[in-house]
Amino acid sequence: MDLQITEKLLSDKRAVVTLSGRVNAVTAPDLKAQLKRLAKGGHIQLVIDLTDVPFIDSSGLAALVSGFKAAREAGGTIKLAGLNEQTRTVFTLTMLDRVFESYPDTGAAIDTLAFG
Amino acid sequence: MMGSLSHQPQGIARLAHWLKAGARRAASLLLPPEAEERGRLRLRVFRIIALADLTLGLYYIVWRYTASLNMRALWFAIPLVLAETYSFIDTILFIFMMWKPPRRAAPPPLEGATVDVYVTTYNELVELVRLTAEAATRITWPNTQVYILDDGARPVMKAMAEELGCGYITRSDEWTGKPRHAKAGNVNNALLQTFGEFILILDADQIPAPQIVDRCIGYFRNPQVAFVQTPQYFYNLPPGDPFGSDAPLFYGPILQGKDGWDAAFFCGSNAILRREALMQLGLTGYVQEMEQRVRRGLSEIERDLARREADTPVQRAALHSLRPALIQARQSLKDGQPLEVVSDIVRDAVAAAQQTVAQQDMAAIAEDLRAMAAAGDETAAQVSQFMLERLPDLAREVTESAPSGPEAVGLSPQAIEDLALTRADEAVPVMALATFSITEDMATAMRLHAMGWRSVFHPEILAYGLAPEDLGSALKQRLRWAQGTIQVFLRENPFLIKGLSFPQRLQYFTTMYSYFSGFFNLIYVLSPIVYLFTTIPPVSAWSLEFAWRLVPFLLLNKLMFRYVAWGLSIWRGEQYSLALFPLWIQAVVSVLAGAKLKFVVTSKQRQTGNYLHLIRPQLLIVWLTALAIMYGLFSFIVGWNLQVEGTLVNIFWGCYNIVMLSAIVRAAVYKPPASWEARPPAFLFPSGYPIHSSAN
Repeated sequence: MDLQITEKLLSDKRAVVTLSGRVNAVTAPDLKAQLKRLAKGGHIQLVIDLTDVPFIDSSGLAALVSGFKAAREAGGTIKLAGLNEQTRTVFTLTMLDRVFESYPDTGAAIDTLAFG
Repeated sequence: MMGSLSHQPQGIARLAHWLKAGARRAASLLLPPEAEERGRLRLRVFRIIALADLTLGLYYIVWRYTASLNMRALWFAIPLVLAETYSFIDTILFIFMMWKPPRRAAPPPLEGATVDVYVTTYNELVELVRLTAEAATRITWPNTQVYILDDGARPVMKAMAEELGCGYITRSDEWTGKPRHAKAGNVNNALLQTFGEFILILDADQIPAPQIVDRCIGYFRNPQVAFVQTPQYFYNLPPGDPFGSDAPLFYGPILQGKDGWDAAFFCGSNAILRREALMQLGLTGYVQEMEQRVRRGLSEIERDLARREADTPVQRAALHSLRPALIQARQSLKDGQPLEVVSDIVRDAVAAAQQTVAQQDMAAIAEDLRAMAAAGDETAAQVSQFMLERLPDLAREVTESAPSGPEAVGLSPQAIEDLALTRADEAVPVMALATFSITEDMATAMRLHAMGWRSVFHPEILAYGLAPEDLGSALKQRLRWAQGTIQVFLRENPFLIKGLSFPQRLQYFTTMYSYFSGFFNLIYVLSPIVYLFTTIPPVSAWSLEFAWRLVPFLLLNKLMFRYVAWGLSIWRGEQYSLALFPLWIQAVVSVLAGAKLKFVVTSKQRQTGNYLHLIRPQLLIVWLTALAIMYGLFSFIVGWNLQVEGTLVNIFWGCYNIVMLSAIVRAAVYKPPASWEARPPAFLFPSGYPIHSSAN
């Protein structure tokens, strides 16, 4: 199953990226490129919706980290929403739950973003 | 050789033939027919020899400390007994390492596994890389994709990759202006661009056998196995291996021994690694690094707070307002809150403090203006009123439009940078292969083991590469290994990092320990010289007791090494382990002195010339030893010295040292025979040896 990446721009800075499918070594480079492109275009306050992601491996996590780095360097951030049991486990296992803040749904995550 | 054999008289040849056949018959009667049984028997015999060796060694070394130090020459006696102690501990570590090697049989392949083959290159010739890449495309495992990782970004290499249907990867633009981390960086960069479940890493010159993946992939059926290492052998060793490159003992019994303790090393090439393990290592490394930075940032701010008491009252007040935030941040960190939360608490507080400072600065300006207004300045009065009314908003606008930086409140910018959670100094945040050492492979394996991953050494030779072809390159390579290993010893000491078992710690320590031998070997080569010139003995007497305590131990020790090596040629290695003492000393000293170490790509082409200038210390020792022997003989003959035993022992010792050092002297002036040509073994090329026009 391929990974589908859709983005909804909320403002000049804020956007929601919805992922649907498996995030693994095959699809990670696409995700990384997409996140970088958003950061370059000034969208640095991002919420990534993982509700429809049944599986994420460490290559997928690495892509998220690359995006996080790009956003932070531009003064923004990335928040996560909608983790399921599997995805939460890999975040805990790699201790990445120390880096990414996650929320039950996108609404809650958007509320924590800085305005702009 | 063949010629001289045929000149032997018939009778002797026949006798030799019978003797050999007889020995074979005897061996077949004595040894169990099953390979597994034989292995078990060999291990049992090794353990008996080893225990006997340890007993004799203990018997000797205790006597050395308690009864045989020359108390009138402790300056000489103590260094020598320390060197002997070092060697004895080395023996203990060696025996422990060899105690329980596993009996590995390659499990059936892991069907459907996808494998990326990385051929790493920096400045090697295209034709050399082509040989490896072509062989890689002939790997029989079905789901294999070959990539050339070209750190030199050369168009010819790209063209060659396209011609062979290999992927071609160079550094992405993120790396511009960032540290490149040599080979480790090259691989880390590629890991984010390919997607095989397993990675076979090959140095540019390591030509793989077609079955390399089929033979090793089965080990990954165990989901805990992170990597499988196979031996590194060389196809260009000149006759007699003058530079001591061949390492059959290491890529055989030693790694098998380490494997028995779940501590097989990753040696940088000819190994298959599990992507998931590498990425997890990179991710946890990233999180640890981030957490470390946040902690460091907090500590720095706390230090600034403690230090800046004497600054202006305004700054002091602003800094004080940070206190509660820092306490809260520490607490959040302890509670395991996301680092961003911790960072934001402090950064918000710093921003607020900056505003407070700006606000008070502006209040002061307004005060000044009011003073001017009192003196009759109309405009000043208006501005002053305007400012005082909108002080908070103004302060916010000013700090936002022209950020004053953390210095305004007396904080070091580094602290705020640490709290930014960006890892801005690195090109890619996730570094799977360790980059802090020039021997990235050892550090990576140790971290993987510390995370609980397992490893395998598969002893079958499945690739052949190139060894240095001149002494200069060989020495550079050895120096890099030694420096890198000591670097790891200091930065990530195996006894200090969490998660390793005690035997695993010992396996890493054993290798690191061996690189400290230079100092002690220096004592060994100096001792006979000192004695023969001064007749001052380091032992209380060269007595019969000395002989029967030392000689059996020495002989049994040599026998044990021979037994472990079982037919492998280790003589050259033995010579070099003594002869390289100046290099090992240089390695330790340079790392301790904090020298900046560079990853050196080992030269794959012969540099012509002689290298005597690189081995001056060894030449000096050889010369001094020869002189000492002659002087010892002379003084004995003319009757200045009547110590028969001491003179004989030390002349023998000196001769032994000269024989050991002779290898490196010969290597310094070595020229391979004109007819000699390096050729990879035929089994790497099932469909014939490739011939290319060397048009590059």
